[in-house]
Amino acid sequence: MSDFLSLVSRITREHRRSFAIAIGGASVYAVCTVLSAFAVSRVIDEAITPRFEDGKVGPQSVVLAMVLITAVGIVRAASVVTRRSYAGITEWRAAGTLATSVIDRICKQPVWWLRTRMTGEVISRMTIDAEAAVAMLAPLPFASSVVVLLGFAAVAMLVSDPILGGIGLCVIPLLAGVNLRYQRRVDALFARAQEHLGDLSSTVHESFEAVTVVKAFGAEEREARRLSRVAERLRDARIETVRFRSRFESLLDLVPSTGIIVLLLAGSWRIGEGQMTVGELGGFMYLFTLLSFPLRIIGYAVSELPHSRAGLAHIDGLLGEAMLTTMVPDKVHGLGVEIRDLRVVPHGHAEPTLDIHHLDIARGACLAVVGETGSGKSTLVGVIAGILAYDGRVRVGRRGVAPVFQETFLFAATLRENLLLGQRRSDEEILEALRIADAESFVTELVDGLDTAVGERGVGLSGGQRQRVALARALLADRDVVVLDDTTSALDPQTEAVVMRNLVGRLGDKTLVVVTSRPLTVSLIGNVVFLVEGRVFDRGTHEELLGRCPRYEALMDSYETDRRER
Amino acid sequence: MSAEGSRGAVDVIARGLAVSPALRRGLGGTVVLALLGTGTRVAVPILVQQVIDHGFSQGPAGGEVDFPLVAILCAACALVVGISAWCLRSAIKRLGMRSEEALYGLRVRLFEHIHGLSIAYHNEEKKGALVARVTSDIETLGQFFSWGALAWLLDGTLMFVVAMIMLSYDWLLAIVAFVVAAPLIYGFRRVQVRLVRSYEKAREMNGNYFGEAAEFVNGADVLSAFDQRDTYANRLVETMRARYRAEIRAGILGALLFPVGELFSVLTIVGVSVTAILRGPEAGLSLGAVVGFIFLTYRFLEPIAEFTEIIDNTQGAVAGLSRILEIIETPVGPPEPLAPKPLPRSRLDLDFSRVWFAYQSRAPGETRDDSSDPFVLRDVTVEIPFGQHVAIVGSTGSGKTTFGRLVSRLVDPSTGQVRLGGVSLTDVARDDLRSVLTFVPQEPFLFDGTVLSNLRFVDPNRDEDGCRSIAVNLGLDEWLGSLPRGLWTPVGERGNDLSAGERQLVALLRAAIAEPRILVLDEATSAVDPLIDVRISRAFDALAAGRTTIAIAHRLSTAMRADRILVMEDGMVMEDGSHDELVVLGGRYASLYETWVATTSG
Repeated sequence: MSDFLSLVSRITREHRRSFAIAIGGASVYAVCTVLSAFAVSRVIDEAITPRFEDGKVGPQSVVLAMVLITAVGIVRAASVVTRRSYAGITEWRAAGTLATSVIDRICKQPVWWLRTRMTGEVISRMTIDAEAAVAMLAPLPFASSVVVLLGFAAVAMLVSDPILGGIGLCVIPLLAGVNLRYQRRVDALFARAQEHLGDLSSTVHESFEAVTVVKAFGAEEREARRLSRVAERLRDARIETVRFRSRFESLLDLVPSTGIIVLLLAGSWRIGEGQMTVGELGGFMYLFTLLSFPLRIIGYAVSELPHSRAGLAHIDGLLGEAMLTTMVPDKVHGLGVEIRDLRVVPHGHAEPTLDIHHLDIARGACLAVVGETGSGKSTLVGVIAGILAYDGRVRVGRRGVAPVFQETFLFAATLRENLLLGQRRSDEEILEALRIADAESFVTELVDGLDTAVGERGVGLSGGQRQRVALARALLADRDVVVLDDTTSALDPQTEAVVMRNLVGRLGDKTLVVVTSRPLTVSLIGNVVFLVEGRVFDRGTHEELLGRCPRYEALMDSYETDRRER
Repeated sequence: MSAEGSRGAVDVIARGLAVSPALRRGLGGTVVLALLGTGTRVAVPILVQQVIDHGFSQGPAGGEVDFPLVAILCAACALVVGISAWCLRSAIKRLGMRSEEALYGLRVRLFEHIHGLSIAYHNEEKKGALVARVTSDIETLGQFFSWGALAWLLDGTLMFVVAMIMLSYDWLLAIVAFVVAAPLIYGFRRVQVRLVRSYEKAREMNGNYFGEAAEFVNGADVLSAFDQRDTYANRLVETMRARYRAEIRAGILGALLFPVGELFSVLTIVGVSVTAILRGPEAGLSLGAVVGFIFLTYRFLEPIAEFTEIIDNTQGAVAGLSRILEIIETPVGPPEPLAPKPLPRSRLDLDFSRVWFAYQSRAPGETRDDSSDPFVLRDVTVEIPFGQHVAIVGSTGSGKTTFGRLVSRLVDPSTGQVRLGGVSLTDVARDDLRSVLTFVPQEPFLFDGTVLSNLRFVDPNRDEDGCRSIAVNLGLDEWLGSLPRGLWTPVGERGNDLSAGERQLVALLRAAIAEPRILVLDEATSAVDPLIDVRISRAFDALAAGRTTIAIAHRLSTAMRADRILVMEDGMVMEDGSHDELVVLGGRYASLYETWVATTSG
């Protein structure tokens, strides 16, 4: 219980006022509910009964009874609006506070911290976890008012008639128990069905994406059978939920009805003894009817509690993580790239994937980084770009590094926004950068040109087009060092050659580092560092390395060797 | 819903019932059970009326009570309530189980149908949309059955029965109740329409926030490298706040719904009470009837709030159903021949005679097609004798991939014929064709599982040793040994744990296991390092022996090994000959080859 209170207090810390208003509204609602039962019995006893038993009734008492019932109804309605509105305000604002603290923390951690995490997890922390953490706030004011209501109702019932009150008080815990038990069980069943639905969704996704393979091997029927099996599990889980639900729904109708029958039986006996009026009995039964629905809400609130606890625990886990130290290359005027005693040991690895004692690239120079798959080329790019953690000393030119990564990431925004990333540049400058990247023609051919929406919800660009956009983005950033991580691989040989010639020709005092495995590109750049298993295996011009390094020659000449051996 | 809209809805529902007859089965019984099930709710107000009128003798404030009669009435009522509860439970169970069965049937039908749709259709339609048909659209139906349909059934029958009882008590009181309550339906509807709009708005904002949150994490490297992380984080927080504001607004609007109902039920009770007092016992009313009536009025008004919500739920379900029907009513891809002809056992020569081909339609905005000419292949006539190794080269959009699809009968020609062993492919049974011909698509799609499970996709009966011996034949055993767990190496979702080159090697092995007599390969080797590319080419040589192979090649390292090269341009075969012949010819191929040599030489 204290755990529960501290959880609520923690989540609502910065939203006490709106939460208090919601609780206040809920309390008014509870009082009015009891009052409305009183009003109904007033209407029956003061207005209707005299008319039917005595034949006439004073207009004053009729008007009074009607005003009473209407006034109570209006106040009760207003209290519901207040409670629900402020419960919503508290819930969403609290979720906002939690999500903001997560975003702040992610920003304060260096970017490589994300590599130690699954991206889906991190996204969940600022979205669904924040929502789950506050989910219990929505039904909470109502639930707490139901507790108040039950208290009031119990007193009201016991005062008006101890025997009937006793009967009513026996049925209510029974109903509350049924609700709690149901909610817990149905949540578990529902969660299981959702799991099967998730399975179905990913299986279907995979199967439809594989449609060409499926057709190529004539496996349509086999695939349909595989999907049916997953769908069967979903169906069975759902049917089990339905069975359970049907039992509960009918029980929920049965228990209050039976309760009222018992109340009526006992009530008529009390009336016979002259201890009670018909109106009082009516009000009693009315109050009992009003109570049966709100009891459900306690079930909801209790079932949200574990979700909230889990969501908050996830968020606290992220906020409680140690801050990683920030290591980005120092920026020094007049420098290209300077690397000393560099070691990179990725998260969870024992051995370094990159171990470079000494590597300098002069300002205005070009360097090709060559190596087989897994030799550490991309790691080197990551270090220079400042997105990987490392040991040692790395210094770069004063205006920093503009990298182009292997996988081009485009934001769901216009092409212009993707190219500028927050900078200001004229259209001429943008077009010039696109021209160097050999992307001008396809961009100007797009109907909306630079204002074309790209990324997730926009026009799909081909791999080669995306690479060229990323290259233009790096050029527009106007940094001292440009780093390309095998970023012209999706271009055909002619286009690639054009792009590389443009780049090398217009470099000025910029430093260019290019990861590539194409002999033509390497020979255009001239200088090569050849990486093997994370170490500098050889360094020199393309020709020098071809002459003295057989391993380099084997990689570079594989096509030619293949041609010769044909 | 407009008149036209409801006619459309009725039509959709009729078509849906035709597709899924399971829904209609036993519906009558379910409705009868639901009607009986209303007893739990209506029996009690009737009991109250009976007890007040007959159990209590006339007298001021109580007095005589006929206790045995009251006890008998209560016992009878308890019995009715018990039976009704059982009926209600059966009705809910029947509706739920039947509809889950029907949804299951609909899902299976959709899988089969979607897999049967032509490749052209799959390319035009976004995969996500097709997945949505089988998942979220069917889910809208599922939600309808677990809530909307249930509410129609239970609330509908309850309101009907209660209205009947109210009328039987006193028609004038009933009319008063209905008239006072009528504006409630209108008021609810008004709020409801605005509520739906504001929830849609909130959902849209929700999508924006989730999208930006994903970008903030997935694009972190780029944002960091260009010093934009903080700027983007601020924007993200703004989007989040806008979303929460929209949620709060929708919530407040929703909060107004309940009080509308509350006020109307109070007004209705006031109306009923005042009318009853004005008319009095002279009009034949009894005290019990009036008190019972007040309880019935609550019962009558309760479901109205839910009703206004289930109208939207129903509209959503009808829209989902109509999208599903649209897919089911789309004809499947190349149809099976009605009277299949057997393929000859001997030489399976392949020939194209005067083949033209156009994809039916293109997805809007996908490719800009300035020319009005839709033909991807134009008047192609080619003969490929059995056992020949053919490479097809040409620029993007020249029709290479379509050529491969026609050979594999993933599509049928618009005009002209593709024949295998002299039999038109349109006359060959699908299973017959698949047993002699295998197509390896451009994107070597792998299923989440192990290398072995992907190989066994082709032939589930093939054991581990069988797969390994094929790898030995292709010279890929050494590579297989270099994988962390050999054949048991997990490949990850879509094969993403393997490199692009490795995925292609698995796809090649998979094709080899099918042991086809004709092999069609649509290659994509853009991101593999040269050593791996050469390894793939050699593996392909080993695979090609004794079969017809048609390799659609982007890298000329494959083309130069072929017996014959077809150079395609604008849907036509421009050059046809061996590597040496075409180089000497000095045309398109010669220039492609020249660039290839220049870019790949040290």
